[in-house]
Amino acid sequence: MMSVTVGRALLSRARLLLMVVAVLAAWEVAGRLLALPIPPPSRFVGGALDFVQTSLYQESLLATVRRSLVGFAVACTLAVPLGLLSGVVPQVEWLLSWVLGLFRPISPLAWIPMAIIWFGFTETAGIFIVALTVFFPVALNSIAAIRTVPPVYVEGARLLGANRMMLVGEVLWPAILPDIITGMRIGLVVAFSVIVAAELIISASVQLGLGYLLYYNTLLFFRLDNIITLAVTLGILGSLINEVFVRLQQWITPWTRHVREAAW
Amino acid sequence: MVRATAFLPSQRTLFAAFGMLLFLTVWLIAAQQVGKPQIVPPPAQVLNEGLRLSSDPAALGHLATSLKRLAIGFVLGASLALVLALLAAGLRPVRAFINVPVGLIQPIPPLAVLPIFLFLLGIGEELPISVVAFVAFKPVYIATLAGAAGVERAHLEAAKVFGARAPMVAREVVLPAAAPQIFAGLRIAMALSWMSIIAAEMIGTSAGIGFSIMYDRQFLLVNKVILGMVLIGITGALLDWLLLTIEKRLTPWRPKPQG
Repeated sequence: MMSVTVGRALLSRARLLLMVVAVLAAWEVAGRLLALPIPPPSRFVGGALDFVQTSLYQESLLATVRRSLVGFAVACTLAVPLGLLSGVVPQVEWLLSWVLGLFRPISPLAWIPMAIIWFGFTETAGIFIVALTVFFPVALNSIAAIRTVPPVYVEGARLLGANRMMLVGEVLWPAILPDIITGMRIGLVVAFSVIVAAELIISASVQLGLGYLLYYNTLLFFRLDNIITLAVTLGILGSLINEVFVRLQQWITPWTRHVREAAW
Repeated sequence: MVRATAFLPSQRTLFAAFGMLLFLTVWLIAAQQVGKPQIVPPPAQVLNEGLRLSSDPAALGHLATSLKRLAIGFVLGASLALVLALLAAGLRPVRAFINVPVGLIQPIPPLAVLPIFLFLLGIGEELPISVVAFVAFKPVYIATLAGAAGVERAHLEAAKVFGARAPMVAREVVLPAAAPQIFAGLRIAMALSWMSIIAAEMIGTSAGIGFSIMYDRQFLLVNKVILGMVLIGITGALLDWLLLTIEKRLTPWRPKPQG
């Protein structure tokens, strides 16, 4: 978000395009004259198009997306209720505070050896790592969501005679939903980065996945063009997920947009 | 939501301690149920191993190696980002030359550069250092640029009126004003760097804490794996605390930064 604003403020689109073209042209000339490890863009693009059409690439993409989504779903199923509960009942949060404080600083990638010990070189190991990654941002955003509901909303609704059902359905739910979706968006974007690293490291078994492809192209096939294609795929995938979630958020919770417009 | 204030803080500690106890009990029961200490070791066994290793200074050697790589890579990436961002913010002509390459590498997820660097650099010391430098660059660059953009015009003009030249303006006006954003960027960069160095060490080195927990896994030394993870967690928390402390020292005029 911040980077987009900064980029827009400092750089006009036309100049950006010009610079990109210049970089590509320099790469093309250098690639033809010198023996670079990266082929020039003209050949590179052709190779990338071929690579993208292979079933290996497509099935790997699907496998990675599937793992991320399953791990994401598992994490959300646990984190949202837990986060909301500890947001409403402070005792639950106190109970969990030291335990979560112990686990939170441990990066999800440090869990990879444990995941292998527990689940072997399997699908589950990757899903476990994704679920761990997604859990914390979603749980923390859920706690924050319920905490930051202005008390005046609740008191106002009570004053106007809302019963418990109405309070939850008409006041709390619409107030917390935007924050929960934000947590999910952050979690899923990080998840895609982490699953690829996990696949790269847990790559001993012959499975499909963008991380496995990266591993084989790096250490066995020495295909830098394929590696770059995969890196670009990941970049596009990350931005796509972010974009989809932002749209989804605007569609599911259209009232947040009004709040944002009012804030401007 | 609103009721929380009615309780004493000591009650909070009591609950937290009870939660910890509950966690250890669940762990113990799980260890007994599984019955394979090489897969789920009981907590006491891990603690024993920890006490044994704490008297052995060699055990911390891998951590020291990782920290050394982290320091080199982080200083390289962060200082390059700082200098380039200040140049981009201050000098209009160079702005595009810096922003375009940065914009091109920006969408690549931090961990996806790992295979690219592995390909270009091979296995060895350069890999974790350059991965950290790359990963640390982006958050610091963006944060510094945002911070420099938010400097009050009046302050800049006042400095110029008093005859300050560009380097002095950058050092005395822009840096202090942008310090909160820069430190926020440094903390994000540090967290990402610490995560990435572990991944880099797992793949492409033969020393370091990331390597060591992967190595211990191969020999099913599960106690050491868990201790390594704990060490990674503690170190990560300490690194963040370190940056917060430095920020407090360097910006004494500001109210306490949020943890």
